[in-house]
Amino acid sequence: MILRWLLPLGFLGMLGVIVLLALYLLKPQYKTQTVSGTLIWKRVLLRKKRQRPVLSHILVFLLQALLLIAVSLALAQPYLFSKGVLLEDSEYVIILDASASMRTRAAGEEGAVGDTRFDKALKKAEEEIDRLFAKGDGAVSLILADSAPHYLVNGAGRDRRSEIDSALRSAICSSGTADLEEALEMARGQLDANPYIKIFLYTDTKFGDMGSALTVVDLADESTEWNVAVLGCDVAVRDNEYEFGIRLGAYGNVAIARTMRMQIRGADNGDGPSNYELKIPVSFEVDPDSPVREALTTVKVRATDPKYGGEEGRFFDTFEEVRIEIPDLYDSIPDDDVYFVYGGVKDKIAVEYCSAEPNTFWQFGFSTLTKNLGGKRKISFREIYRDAGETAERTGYDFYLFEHAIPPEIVEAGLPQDGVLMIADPNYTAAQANLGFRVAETVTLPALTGCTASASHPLLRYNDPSAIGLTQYKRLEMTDPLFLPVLYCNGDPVIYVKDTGDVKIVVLAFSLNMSDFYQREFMIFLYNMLETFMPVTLDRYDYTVGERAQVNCKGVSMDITGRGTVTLTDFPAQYLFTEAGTYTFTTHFGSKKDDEVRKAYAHIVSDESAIFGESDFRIVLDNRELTGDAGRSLLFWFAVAAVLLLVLEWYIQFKDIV
Amino acid sequence: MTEADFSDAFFSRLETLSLQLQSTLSGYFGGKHLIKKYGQTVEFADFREYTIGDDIRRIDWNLFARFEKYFLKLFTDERQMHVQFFLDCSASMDVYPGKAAYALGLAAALGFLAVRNTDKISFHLLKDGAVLDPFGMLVGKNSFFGAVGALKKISFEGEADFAACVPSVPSTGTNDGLSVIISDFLTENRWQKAVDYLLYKKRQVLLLQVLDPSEIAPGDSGRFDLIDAESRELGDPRNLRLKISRPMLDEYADEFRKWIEEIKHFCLSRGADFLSVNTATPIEKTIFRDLFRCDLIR
Repeated sequence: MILRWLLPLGFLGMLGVIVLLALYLLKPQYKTQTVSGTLIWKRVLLRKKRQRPVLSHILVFLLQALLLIAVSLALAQPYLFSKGVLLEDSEYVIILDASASMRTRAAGEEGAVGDTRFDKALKKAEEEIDRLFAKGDGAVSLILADSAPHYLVNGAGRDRRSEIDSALRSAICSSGTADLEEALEMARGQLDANPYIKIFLYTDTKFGDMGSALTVVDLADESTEWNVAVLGCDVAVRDNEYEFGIRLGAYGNVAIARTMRMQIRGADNGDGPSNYELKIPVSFEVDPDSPVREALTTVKVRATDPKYGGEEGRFFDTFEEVRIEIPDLYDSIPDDDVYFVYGGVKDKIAVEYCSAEPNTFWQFGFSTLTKNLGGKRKISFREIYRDAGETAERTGYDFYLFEHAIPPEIVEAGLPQDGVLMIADPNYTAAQANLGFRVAETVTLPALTGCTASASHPLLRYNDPSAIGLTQYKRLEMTDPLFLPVLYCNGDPVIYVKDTGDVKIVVLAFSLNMSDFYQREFMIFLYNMLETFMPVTLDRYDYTVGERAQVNCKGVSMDITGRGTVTLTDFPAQYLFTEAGTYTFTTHFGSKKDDEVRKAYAHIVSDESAIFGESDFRIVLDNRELTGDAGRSLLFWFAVAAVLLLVLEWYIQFKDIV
Repeated sequence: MTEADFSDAFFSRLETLSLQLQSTLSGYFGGKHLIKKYGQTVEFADFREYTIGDDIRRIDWNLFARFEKYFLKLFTDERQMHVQFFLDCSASMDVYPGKAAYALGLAAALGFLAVRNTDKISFHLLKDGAVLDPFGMLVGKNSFFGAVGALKKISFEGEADFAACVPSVPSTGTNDGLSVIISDFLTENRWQKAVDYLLYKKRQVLLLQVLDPSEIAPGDSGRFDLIDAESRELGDPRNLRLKISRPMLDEYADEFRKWIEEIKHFCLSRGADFLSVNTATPIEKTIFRDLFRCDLIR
């Protein structure tokens, strides 16, 4: 061991010993004086002694205490750091880009191989954290930047290393997008609190210079990574023929010519389902000199085009599934090599109409609705012609519409259980059918009288109650309290709704003939009724990961099966697509009706297939600059203070001795 | 050895004065001090009615003629007093030039006044822890001047212990005169006991404090080894090493004032007279002004 002096200049302090010696040697001279008595002087001294002790002792104590403190502090080798020196390299904010493109691996001969970019990011982050903690104490914040960036750990020190490691192990790369701008804004919040932190962004997106505080680690490797993706498919019907506009993209150093395969399953033109397979040649060549490194193309495919293997003249109006893929691709991201198209099967609504005095309003209304819904729904309307001896069915329909009278066979056999029952202008047969009400009287109004609504009900969502005028209505006496009045006229309810989930009954206590309902509000009312009781399960059938779909249910509950199964009972509901793939939406109607199955496909965002992206925003994250005079040792000054305090204390003690 | 002004001129100035003592004293027969007791002098004092047994020669016949009652005519009595001088002859009295002479001068002046009143006087010299009575009881000017001449030659040394020495004086009578203690009282000895003893003996007591201006207000600041004149060695606890600063001098003045007040308070509470004199004050002024104000002389 070698003894060294960090500050040899401190030996100058020993000169204080010489000073001390001089102070002791140079004693003050006292003149001898004979006096007649020292009585008064002694009294003076006694008085001074009485007055001085408290102050003197406190002063001496303070000096001694300060002396000890100064010596202790000097022994502790005080060093004055500027805030920057103290905080520099003491706190890291690590942002992990968890977008789908971070799942990119190196492209091998039989598929993607090696670590994903996200795995590499985790390893590099861990190495950086190791380096930080090797220097001493520090703090680490981990931000997982997915579609909703959040902290995995915030301000964790070395003592929370296990928590950091656990967070790194449990971090999962999403199949969606990453809101890097929000993640960087979160880091900016940390930078505001500590202007000397370092921010590391592990990403595959290229950024320009965004300030001294930010270190962007680009994990993209153009030498080994490339990607070809089916980005989407637009389905259109032209000339009674399906046309698929397939968008394809290639990214990275790639030049391929392949055959795209398109499998159409369950294609039906009314003769029964059949399957097709089309093979479409595609080729890509990405210009290696282009800074974008991207090639996009759209292939329009007619399902009946014979050059791709289609059967000319064999049209179909529904299909179950279309699978689009480029086989044997072996690129860096396999998730976007396949694309599924659903929605080829339309919702069918079956309506049964039975009236004692039939009119055309109802059929006209439903057929108009079918046209106006843009072909999303297919409504079949069956009118029971009693004159022809037809009888009403009590199963197999979505809507049972009984006008004026309940058919006697229904009264006899019981009300339908598998659909919505709509009673218009009921008569005495309602009581016979045990509907829960009876007709008390018929009220005839002197003039056309507008209606009012007590509260907003989905059944009247887009209706104007005052525009519904009546001249006559039936005053009903309700025995079932579950009937809810939704529309009033002349102070009496004229439309009742009973919706218990299992049983759905709508009662119009008036005849269309005795109102102007049919003129405008009737169509809206029918639309509301479809949307309320028979909503479409999904608005569309292709989504991107991270997108939320509004899910409706005609039945009691719904199972959604994707990377797991979720059961929903409250509707309308929101469903978040977290992974790419096919999702099955199964509607349960209980025991009354068969389950209805709908499928949708969630694909990764097109931008994530572009594995060599560039940022489209800029945030400046600068550290505060350190000054040159960043630190100074205080050892010398504390030693000087100790010596001064020692001399002062000695002086006061000496004075007291006198 | 101290040179005091005991010249004829000094004493001749005192011829116009006389010593005024308390009338409650009894004294000895044959003096000139009027006392409250009725006696045989020619100084009329009062009348009183005749009672059986009274000397019929004192009946005032003029009053009998007027009132047809017998009244006696009463006269005051005159006594001779014993004036004792307890003179502090310790070394402290001889530290400053003139201080001892001043003390001796006061003693001589008061002694002269007493002798002139045909009183008896005695000088008790206190030094070295003992009391000396070199002259005995003095009556008449001849013996007085003889003693005064000898007083010029006494030495001031050692320390004076009033508490021990005063009670040991055998000739201290009871209720027969004035005891004068002349000292600077700058001592830690309990001189108050001596005063109490003399008052116990029903004597009139006068304390004359003689101080040099340097004792009243020491003017020099600085570092000093203060040697008590009565100390026998340097290590004596009465000696002090002091750094005298201006504030300390102020505190000295304040403490000195308090000390004088304490002595005054003590004397007042006991019925003794006290006079503190500064040797810078001419002795005539002290006698003709200060003692005059004390009603001790007139």
